[in-house]
Amino acid sequence: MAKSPRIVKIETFRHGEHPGLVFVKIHTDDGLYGIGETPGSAEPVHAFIHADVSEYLLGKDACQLDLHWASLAKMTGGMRSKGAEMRALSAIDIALWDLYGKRMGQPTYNMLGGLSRDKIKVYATCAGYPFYLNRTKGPKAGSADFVPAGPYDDEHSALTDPVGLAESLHAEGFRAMKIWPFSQFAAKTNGQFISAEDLAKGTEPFRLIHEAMGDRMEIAVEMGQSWNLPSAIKIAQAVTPFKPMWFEDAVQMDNLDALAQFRKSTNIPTIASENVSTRWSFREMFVKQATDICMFDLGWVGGISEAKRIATMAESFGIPIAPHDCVGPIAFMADVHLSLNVPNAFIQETVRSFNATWYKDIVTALPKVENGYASVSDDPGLGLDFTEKFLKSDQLTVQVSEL
Amino acid sequence: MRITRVETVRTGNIPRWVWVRVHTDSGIIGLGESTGVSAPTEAHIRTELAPYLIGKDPMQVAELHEGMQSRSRIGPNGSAEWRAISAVDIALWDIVGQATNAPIHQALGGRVRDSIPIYNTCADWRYAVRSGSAAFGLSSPTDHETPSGKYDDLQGFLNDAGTVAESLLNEGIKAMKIWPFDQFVSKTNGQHISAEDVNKGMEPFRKIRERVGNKIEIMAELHGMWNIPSIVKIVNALEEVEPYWVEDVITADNVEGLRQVQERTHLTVLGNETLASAEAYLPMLSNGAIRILMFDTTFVGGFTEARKVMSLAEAHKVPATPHDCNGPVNLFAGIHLCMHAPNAFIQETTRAFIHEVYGRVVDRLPRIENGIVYAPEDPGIGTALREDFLADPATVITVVEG
Repeated sequence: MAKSPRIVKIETFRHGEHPGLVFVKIHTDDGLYGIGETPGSAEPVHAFIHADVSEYLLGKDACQLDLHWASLAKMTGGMRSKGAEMRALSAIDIALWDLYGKRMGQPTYNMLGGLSRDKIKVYATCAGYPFYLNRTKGPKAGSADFVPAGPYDDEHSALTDPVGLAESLHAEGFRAMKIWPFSQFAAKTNGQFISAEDLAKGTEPFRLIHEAMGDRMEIAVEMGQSWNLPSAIKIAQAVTPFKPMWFEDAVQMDNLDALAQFRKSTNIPTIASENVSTRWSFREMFVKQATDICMFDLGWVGGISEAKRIATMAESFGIPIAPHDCVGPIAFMADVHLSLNVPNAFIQETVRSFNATWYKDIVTALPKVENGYASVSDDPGLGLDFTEKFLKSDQLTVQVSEL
Repeated sequence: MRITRVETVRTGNIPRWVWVRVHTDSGIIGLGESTGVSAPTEAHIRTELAPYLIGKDPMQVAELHEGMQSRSRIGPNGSAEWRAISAVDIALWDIVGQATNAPIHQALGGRVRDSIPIYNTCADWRYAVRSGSAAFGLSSPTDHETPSGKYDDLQGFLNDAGTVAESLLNEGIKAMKIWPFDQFVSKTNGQHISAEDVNKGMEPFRKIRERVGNKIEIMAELHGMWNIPSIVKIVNALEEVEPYWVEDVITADNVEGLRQVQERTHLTVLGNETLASAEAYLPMLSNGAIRILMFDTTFVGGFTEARKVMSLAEAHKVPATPHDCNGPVNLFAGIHLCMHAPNAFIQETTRAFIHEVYGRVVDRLPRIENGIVYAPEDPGIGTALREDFLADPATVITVVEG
């Protein structure tokens, strides 16, 4: 048996500008390292990694990914959790895959089984620049006194100039986009009721884009788990005449029977959900026929390992996958490696305002997004590293556990 | 009333415990607790929940519970965030009780009974110290060889289960829980159990029946460690000794699997204290996967979620029973809920913990006589952290203030 590299050091990074992201770097005794990432509230993730994960992982063989996943999952608060423990495990798993590829001298997509395609169609999620950034809260996107920070403040444009936004995306090669104009009304009743007036206002961007662009631009409806079932069905009915691409996170993911009811109410595809973790939860969703398309986020579903397992399971149910982004650059890179490998992937989420700005501040390479498709280089592992700018930033705090 | 300060309390002696103390401008201090992997739980309380809570009215528990959930971005499953919310929610109910001069069972809507039978979980005091990720006390040889204190029920049930049963009956305790099959898990990581090991695992059950007949109820705990074929073998063997229930035959991750086990035995399948929120219990209740529901107030989301879970079970005609073998506040929480909920019938206790650990941490213990626990009478949760425990050098307190 080949000599196995041992894990000797686990570093976590927090950055003042990105308080909602945890970055992980795992080192082995042969001098290699891999990097990973997870979003969400950061302190519990750091605490779990340095108090509990490090105790298990230090000294272990870095190539035993499946064993480490299973062992760390037992330490989580529940196998379906997307809590701090599962987020930590996801970041660790992504870093171990990066490391694994580097050791074998192959890009991660090859380690997963090779390319099913050399580029994946992308859609543009119309978020503005400040998502996940530590910026003082100014006027809300869509309001009259909002000042766009640049040409890609797309959340604002989605509400104020939806046709202009769609045309700008189309000019860059995008043929699909995602917006959430109903979310602005959810807080009024905590999602318990939507008025006819708000329903009409929320539908307007879909109507305008569809009438202006027709089939040249597909539009996904993000409902963000904000509504109860009757409100979600009302929204779906209102948008249906404008042929949306899918309805996303129509109801809360804590009751998959309600999601199945939603799906039965419409002929437009239902997609779910970045808010669900691990194969056990997705198995229940698939058995209940609650979704047409499977979405997950590598940063808390359980990393690349679990995402690959879920994608394969989805394939056996005839369900395609569409990985989530809108979170962080390392997970985005891992997403595209997976989307290129998995036979039943068909589209990948991306956010142009992130790609153009702060993703580049953190990592040295991103997937190439061109003419509406994403691809990656054949560099070993995930093919990216932290930038000098990131590592030298005075806003960076490093915490280390080592043998 | 306003929340002025939130403290987290941990002790180096028992790393899996975390407490929260919620201070108010009225001088009332609410106490909450959780257990398990506690470093991330503590971090979530300190960095996410405490800043939200400071300045809020602690009496509006429903609003604060919703607010804490929306700040935690979690689904219906156990996690550090849910354990953090559980601890704080219990502390808030403690404040409500103290402020209204009512024990929490009163604040919840009153009693349906003023006492309830207990059973004994046959752990030893060291079991409280371990993180719980190993094979529940049975993983290493030293665990078998080193006797601990007076209530060494873990060694007791492995080697001389009949004597443990007799000792419990002498105290008036008429039900006991044991987990002898855990010791064989690591051989195959739960993928297979040999006929020989099934037979060895049955020995403690047989010894109890030989010594005391059916004077004591036996709960068989499997800790969700086996695959389904192995579980079916174990459950079939257990039918010989008629345990009162078979607990956590499979992890709560596979409700269909749980139902399959229940369909293949006349024994009562019970599950599962690891879940959080009422929604998480819906699938296993609606598909008949369990006949008794177990929850843990310090995991499920505190009193606010626990009462929902118990009501949901009641609507499904399923009895509910609180988990302990965790910590003193959790035990009090379970007792309050048992006094209040019509579908409660028994409360878990661990005599080794109560006599050898809990008393070092809290200033009052529940009144237990002859196998019966009585309704706490003091306002609020009815217990508080001891001053000498708070002053102990091993006790680590962090403070968040407005």
